[in-house]
Amino acid sequence: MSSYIDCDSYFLVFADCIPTRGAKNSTICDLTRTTLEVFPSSFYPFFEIFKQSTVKEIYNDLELESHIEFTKFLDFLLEKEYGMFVDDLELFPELEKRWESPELINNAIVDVRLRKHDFGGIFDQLNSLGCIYVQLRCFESLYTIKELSDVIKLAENKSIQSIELIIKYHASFTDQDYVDLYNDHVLISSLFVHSAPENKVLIADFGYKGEDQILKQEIHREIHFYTTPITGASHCGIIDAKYFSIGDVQSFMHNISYNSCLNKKISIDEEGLIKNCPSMIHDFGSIDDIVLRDVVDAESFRRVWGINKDLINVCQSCEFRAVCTDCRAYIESPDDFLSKPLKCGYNPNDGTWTDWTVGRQHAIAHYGIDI
Amino acid sequence: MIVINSISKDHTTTEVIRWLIALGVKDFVRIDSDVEDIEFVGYNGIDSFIISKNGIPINLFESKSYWYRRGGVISFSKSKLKEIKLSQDINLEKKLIGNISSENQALNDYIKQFVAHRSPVSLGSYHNSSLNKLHVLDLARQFGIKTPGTFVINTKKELSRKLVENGPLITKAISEGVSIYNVNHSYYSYTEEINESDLVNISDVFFPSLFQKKVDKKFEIRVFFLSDRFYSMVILSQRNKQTEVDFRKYDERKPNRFLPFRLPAEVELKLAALFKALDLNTGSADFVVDKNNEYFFLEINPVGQFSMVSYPCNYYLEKEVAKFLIN
Ligand code: SF4
Ligand code: SF4
Repeated sequence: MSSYIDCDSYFLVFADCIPTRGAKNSTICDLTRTTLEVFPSSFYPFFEIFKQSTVKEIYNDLELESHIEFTKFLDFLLEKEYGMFVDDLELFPELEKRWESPELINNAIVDVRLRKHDFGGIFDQLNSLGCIYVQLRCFESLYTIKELSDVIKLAENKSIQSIELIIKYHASFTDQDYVDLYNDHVLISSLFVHSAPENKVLIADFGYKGEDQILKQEIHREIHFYTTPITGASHCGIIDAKYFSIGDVQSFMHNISYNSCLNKKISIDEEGLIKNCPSMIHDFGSIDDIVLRDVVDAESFRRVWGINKDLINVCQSCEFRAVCTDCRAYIESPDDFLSKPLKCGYNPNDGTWTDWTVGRQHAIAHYGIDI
Repeated sequence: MIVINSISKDHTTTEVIRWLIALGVKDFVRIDSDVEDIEFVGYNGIDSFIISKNGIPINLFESKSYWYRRGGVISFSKSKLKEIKLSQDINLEKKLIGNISSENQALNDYIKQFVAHRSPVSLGSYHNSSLNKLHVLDLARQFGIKTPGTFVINTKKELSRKLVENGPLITKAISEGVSIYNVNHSYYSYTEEINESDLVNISDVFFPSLFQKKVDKKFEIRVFFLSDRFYSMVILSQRNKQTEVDFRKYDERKPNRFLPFRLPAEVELKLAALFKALDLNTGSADFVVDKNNEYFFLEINPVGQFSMVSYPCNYYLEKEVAKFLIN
């Protein structure tokens, strides 16, 4: 095995490869190559030592029997291209741990079941708050495709840049109707159809017939049909490795600084009640009586925005906390607002994933979640 | 009032404006020269210089802050001109249209100069928006900044001699390079490496082209300059061949790393002097650093895409630009 024992250089860990220490295991997240690797936490202290000592110095300070392990660790970091040897660490500052955005509200969830909201008014208000993303979740087929199209039109020429649309399948609409809905609205960023007779994917291409592969890829959009019904807001809040966000500097910085789900979010539930998220029990009044701006200005509304993973029990010692999503509506101990998300089956103390529903009957019953 | 000169769909402009609004600015005008209907209304030389945007009058005397982001000539009364027949003689008609468009150009230049001088705060520069690469390289050397050996060559004979003397060369456009597309394909000109083996494909005489000695590069640096401050980024691409010459050629599997970088103070000082000499208070500069840690200056782009530095380095440059304009 090669050794780096004579290396007078420093080992630079690239600024976009960020380690996170967990109870048993730690992770290193490569934001450029969008990968996440796990390693034993006993190696984590080296990331601090790399900033002060040359590789040679590190070897000299280590017990002889640790040399092989350390060499292996360097091999791992080099093989994954997480860093390189440099003479001058000063030239390579870390990414500043900072997240800011100009908008007051970044995203909104609007739920629809049996009540037709005043969408014109809602989108106007969201616009004045600078809202960029909207998720529209329809549990029932309250609107026809034509009516949905009219609703989307109301969001045009506003701060809103994209709408994620979740609708219920209805037999009176053809595949072409769904494709047309997508093609007619650049605002729709994704379209999910639940309660469908079969799982399938339709392609919307906005009428592009050319051969340019890059353009094709950019234009290509999929409409996903799922047989599973989405009957209400209680489907939300699942924590799973496949939802980890490991692709982008800003979302990483956001995740470690604020509540990854609720920061700068506002919601209107199926009854028209204004909430942090539709699944929350607490509301801040009805959209019929109060303007969103007043709700956003209230300290009590923004309190959850600042609850990051460092404040949440269990998550604070989890190696996935920098890339994990969060949920404050469904939590393990409904009485303890800082307890970990209910729908997470991970235990950072032994590094295992198990079925989250096991042993959680109390909380499941409390929220009335049907599994 | 803040006046912003840009083009439609320029995302960076939109981001800066979002920050302006967040920082409490209400009075701003964005002029997108490619789409907007701008009319000249009147200039009295004393206190009123009025143009109108979509029918709304703007008095340029009230501009407190001007940002020339990008964009070319605003055409005045294009629609009206179409209706007027200037001459029955088709050749005279053509010449007259030429005259009118140079009148339009001169008026445009003046408007941009006027706002830039009139506004206490002014960022970017229309008359410097396209620099001559060769001239900038000369100036850089005068300030003691290293540049790769640079030649303009138009014969195979001379090219082959330079290849023998210098080893591999690179070639790139003297001006802006090609970026064209049709419905099926997109074409871009990149910086390309030229070796002796390429000579067989080159004709004896060709259009005068820019060549530079290829620097044995360790990494590339892109620097965004904003009124006396530098925000630098290092581009690590040397691990994959595809991007070795030009980092814009992207490898999806092993994308380049774009990381924050601290430019040595000595390089910053010289570069600041170069920006000053060019009368620019903002822009992007490119360097390559070789294996001996020498910094070779490549070029300055006065309307640099600073978002490509801002996002990967988490610098919030859009906010910094907004703060500069408010100041
Ligand atoms: S807090 Fe939980 S339930 Fe609410 S939106 Fe976030 S993940 Fe979903
Ligand atoms: S313990 Fe917390 S941070 Fe870790 S995976 Fe579960 S929810 Fe995410």
